[in-house]
Amino acid sequence: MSFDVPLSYRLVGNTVVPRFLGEADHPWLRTLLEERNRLVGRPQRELDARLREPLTPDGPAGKKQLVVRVLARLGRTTRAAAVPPRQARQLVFGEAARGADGRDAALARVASGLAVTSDELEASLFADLPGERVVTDFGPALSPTELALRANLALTQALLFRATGVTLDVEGHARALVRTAKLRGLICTVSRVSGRDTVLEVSGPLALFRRTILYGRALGALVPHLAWCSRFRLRAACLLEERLVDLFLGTGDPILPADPPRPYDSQLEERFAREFRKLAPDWDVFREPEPIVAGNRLVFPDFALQHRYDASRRWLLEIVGFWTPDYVRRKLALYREARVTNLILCIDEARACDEGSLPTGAVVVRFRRRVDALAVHRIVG
Amino acid sequence: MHLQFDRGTILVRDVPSGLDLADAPGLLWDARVQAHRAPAFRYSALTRWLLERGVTFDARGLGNHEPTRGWADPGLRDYQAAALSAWELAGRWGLVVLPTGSGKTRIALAAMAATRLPALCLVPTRVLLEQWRHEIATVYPHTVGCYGEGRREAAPVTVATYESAYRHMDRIGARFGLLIVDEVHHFGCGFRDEALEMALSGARLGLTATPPRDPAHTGRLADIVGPTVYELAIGDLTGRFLASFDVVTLHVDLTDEERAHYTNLHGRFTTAYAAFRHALPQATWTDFVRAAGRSAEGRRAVAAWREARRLLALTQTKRDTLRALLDRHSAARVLIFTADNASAYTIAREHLIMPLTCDIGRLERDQVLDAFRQGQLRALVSSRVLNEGLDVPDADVAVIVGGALGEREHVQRIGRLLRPTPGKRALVYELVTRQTLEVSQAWRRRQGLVVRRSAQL
Repeated sequence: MSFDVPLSYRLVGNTVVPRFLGEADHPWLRTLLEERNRLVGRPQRELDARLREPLTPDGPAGKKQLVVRVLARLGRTTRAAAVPPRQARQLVFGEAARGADGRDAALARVASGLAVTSDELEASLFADLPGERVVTDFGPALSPTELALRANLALTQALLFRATGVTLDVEGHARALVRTAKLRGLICTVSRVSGRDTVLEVSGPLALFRRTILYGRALGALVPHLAWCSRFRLRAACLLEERLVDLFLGTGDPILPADPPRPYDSQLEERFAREFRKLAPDWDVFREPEPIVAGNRLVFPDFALQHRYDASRRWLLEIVGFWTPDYVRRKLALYREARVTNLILCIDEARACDEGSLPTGAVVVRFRRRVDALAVHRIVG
Repeated sequence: MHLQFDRGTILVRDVPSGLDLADAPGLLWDARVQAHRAPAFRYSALTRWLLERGVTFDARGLGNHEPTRGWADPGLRDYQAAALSAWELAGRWGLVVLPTGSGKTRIALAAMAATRLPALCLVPTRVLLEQWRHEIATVYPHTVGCYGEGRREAAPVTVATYESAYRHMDRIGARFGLLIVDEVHHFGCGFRDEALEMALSGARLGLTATPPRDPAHTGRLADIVGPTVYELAIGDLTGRFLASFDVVTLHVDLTDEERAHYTNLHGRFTTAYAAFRHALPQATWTDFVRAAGRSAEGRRAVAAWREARRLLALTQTKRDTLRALLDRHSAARVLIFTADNASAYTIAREHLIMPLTCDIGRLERDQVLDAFRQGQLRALVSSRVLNEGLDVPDADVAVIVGGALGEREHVQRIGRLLRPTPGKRALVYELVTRQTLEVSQAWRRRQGLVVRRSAQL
């Protein structure tokens, strides 16, 4: 996916304010979508030309360019040609190089060989070019609202594409953010925790040495997940117009959210939770409890097990998939740093990635395929 | 002490107490992960520094490379062999500057064969990606890896586009002992330099025909690839190793209608531009475009400028002139260069000449170039794809119909015709429309042809 969309923003002091599309833009978005529908069946270049002309009502130039690009990115064109374009090119240009009797004669010879007319052949020559492709319908109709949200997401990501790092102040849902960041090769550190708020600094390894927008694409990937935090505030330093400016996003910004997070990471977890609840009716099982701060890192236990009538009886449980002894050692060190003692690690015996024995000093439940709820229940008593 | 490749950097853990790392090359304390870290390209400097101080460290196999095998002798000309030795003498770290068409790729092949290090070759375009793989395959019997055009296949010898190197070097940066950078002048100005910084390779070879001349750029390039270790100018090789060429500038006119339209567009643009330059004499073109985007009047001025450029790209007289040139050189292999894709397609339709543009897929492009080599196609028209070192042998005539391009691109376009064949004299036609912005553009382009500073042997 390309992040290259026209940027529509204004600068206020040292802050970049994206020109988000909102309800005020719906009238011209609706016109634009109608124009597009009208040109279904026509070549893309006609649509491009039409959208370069003013609409009534018309949108602001910057926003309009953005929306046109977002629409183009959503695709929906097909190819219409009497002869496959590549074949047409090979035959026509080859024939033209051989023959000395001119263009039309060459076209006519190839056309008769293919049993099409010269015009059809000529129309096929470049029918696969982006501008020649035929505009088709969107499956489910695209509403102005959705188009606006998509454009806003594209705009935000394009701005973050120029970001050198972000600071996130989030409440809830930090796990998905940290996980996305890690998957994208970013480093997440916790700079502050107050109450339910967690402040995360996100940047890439090379950012230590230089101001770089190398990680902009990865940072942009965090944006759709923010919408699932009960509250968030993002601050990014972006390189725009050859200077560093701040971008702020917050709860309620009109950005297309990611698909809703799944309630369970895996069937493994779901099954464990179900079996444990059945086995231990006196215990509450909380999935994805609040993250734990260890130094400047966040640790995410998978479950908190809490005795219903005895607040002091509380255990954290983490299910470890692929592991090495070194990985488990570092994980335990983090929990130790966070002064967590009631910890159960469930380790998949089939997924050891390295030789060597497990570090001692941890309550470990080994498992294959399913975590034994009974074994866990025995530990917590 | 452990050294570990971490996403384009080297992470240093378990530092022995008492060792002061303050002067270690590239190393900084990374509080985020509580460890020392250096950019990957400092790896050899860093390990050298540690060895000099007698520090033992475990790099877990970093920098230990299985040698590549099976190389055939690429066969070098004397100046190419000299370039290779100069690079070896400079500690396998530096730039070789040779004119286009003098076989820079061959020197790269020889460097890979001589060092037998796993090598990553970075090239600017997707077209060059294929060409390099093809060239390597002539002297190297194993599969050549490929990063770019949606493919991600690593092998001991791999070719990657700049773009995919920028995006994937954090994962593949530790695999290659030798980094070869084609058209290396694109680096060193801050844009995508990270691609080179995230590679561990201790041996680096940069190739270019047009090295940067300003000190800041050269200095930066010297830091990440190395200094210029060998340089020859076009005049040193022309005639002996390169075909000589003549440039013929054809001045053409606009039709009355075109002239009226042009004057109108140009006027709209110059009014706004002159006012802007008056207010900000130091401002650059980029500043202007940015400032113009903020007002309706400015946007109209930029739109007028673009429209004027579109108009000049392929005028009626240019079309007529091109027809005459194609007739005159009906037996020659002709390359036509245009300012934009639209003009390329128009010419393609009008003269039934195969266009090579970014829209044409890789396979088809390869077939087309083959057909051109074998004489089944006698002409090609292109705006961008034929730029920069794409190997089209044996073209006799080039027609530059239009181009908004800088000096560098012009030199390279002409260089395309200079592939050596005995007794060949290439002909370059340049179509310039009188009394338009093309005149000064053409003048600036020609500055690039002035014979450069000579070799530093």
